[in-house]
Amino acid sequence: MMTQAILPLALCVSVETAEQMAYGLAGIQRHQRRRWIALGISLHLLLLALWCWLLTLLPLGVAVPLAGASYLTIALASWVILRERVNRRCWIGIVTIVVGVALITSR
Amino acid sequence: MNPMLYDQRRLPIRLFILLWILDVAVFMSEKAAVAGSTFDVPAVFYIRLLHQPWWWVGLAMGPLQLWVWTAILRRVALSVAYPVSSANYLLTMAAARLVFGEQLGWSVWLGAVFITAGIVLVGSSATMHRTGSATSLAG
Repeated sequence: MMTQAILPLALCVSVETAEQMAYGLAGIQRHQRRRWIALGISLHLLLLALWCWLLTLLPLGVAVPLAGASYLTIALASWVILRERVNRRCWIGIVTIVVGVALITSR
Repeated sequence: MNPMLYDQRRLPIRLFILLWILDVAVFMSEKAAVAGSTFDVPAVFYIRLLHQPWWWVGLAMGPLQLWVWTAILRRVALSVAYPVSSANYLLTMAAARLVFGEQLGWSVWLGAVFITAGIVLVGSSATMHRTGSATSLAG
C-alpha cells in the first residue's frame, strides 16, 4: 500500500510547493501578480484532485502528516527560487521533518 | 503589514480553535468522500467523487477556512500563525482514530510529532513566504 502511495504523495508535495512558489512570486513580481495568483489557484485545484487520489491509498492519519512534508520542500524551494535566507532554526526544522517522514514510512 | 503592529501577547485563540476544527472537518470530509472508492479508472473516480455529498461539504468549508486564516493573519504574524495552526495534524490523526477507527502505529504518531515539531521550527523561522492559503493541505 505504501509503495503505491509514493507517486501521488510526491505529486501532492511537488504541486503544493509549486503553488506556494507561485504565491511567493506574486509578491515579488508585482507586475505579473495576477498571472502568478491564477497559476497558484489552478495548482490548488490540481492539488485537491491529487490529494483525493492519495486518500484512497493511505489512512487519513498517515496521509496528513506525510503531506506536511511539503513544508520542507517549500522551505528549500523558497531558498533556491525566492532567494530567501534559511537560518539555523529552519535547517533544524527541515532535518526534523525528514526524521518524521522516515519514521512514518519505515513501517 | 508591519509585524511590529501586532500585539504578540494576544493570541487569537478562539480563531485558532475555529481553524483547527475547520481543518480537521475538511480532512475528515475528504476522507469520507473517497471511502470505498478506488483509483483504478481516474475518470470514474472523479465523477463518483463529484456525486459524494461529503466532497461538497469539505469544499464548502474552504472559503470559511480562508476567512478564519485571513482573520488570524490580521492579528498575528505568519511566523506565529504557522506553528500554532500546525496542531491540526495531530488533531486530525486523533479524530481519524476516533471516527474512522484508524489504527496508527507508534512510529506514525512519533513521526507526526517530529513533522509537527519541524513545521513549528520552519514556520517560526519566518522563512516561509506563503500568502495565507488556508485551503492548502498544510493548513
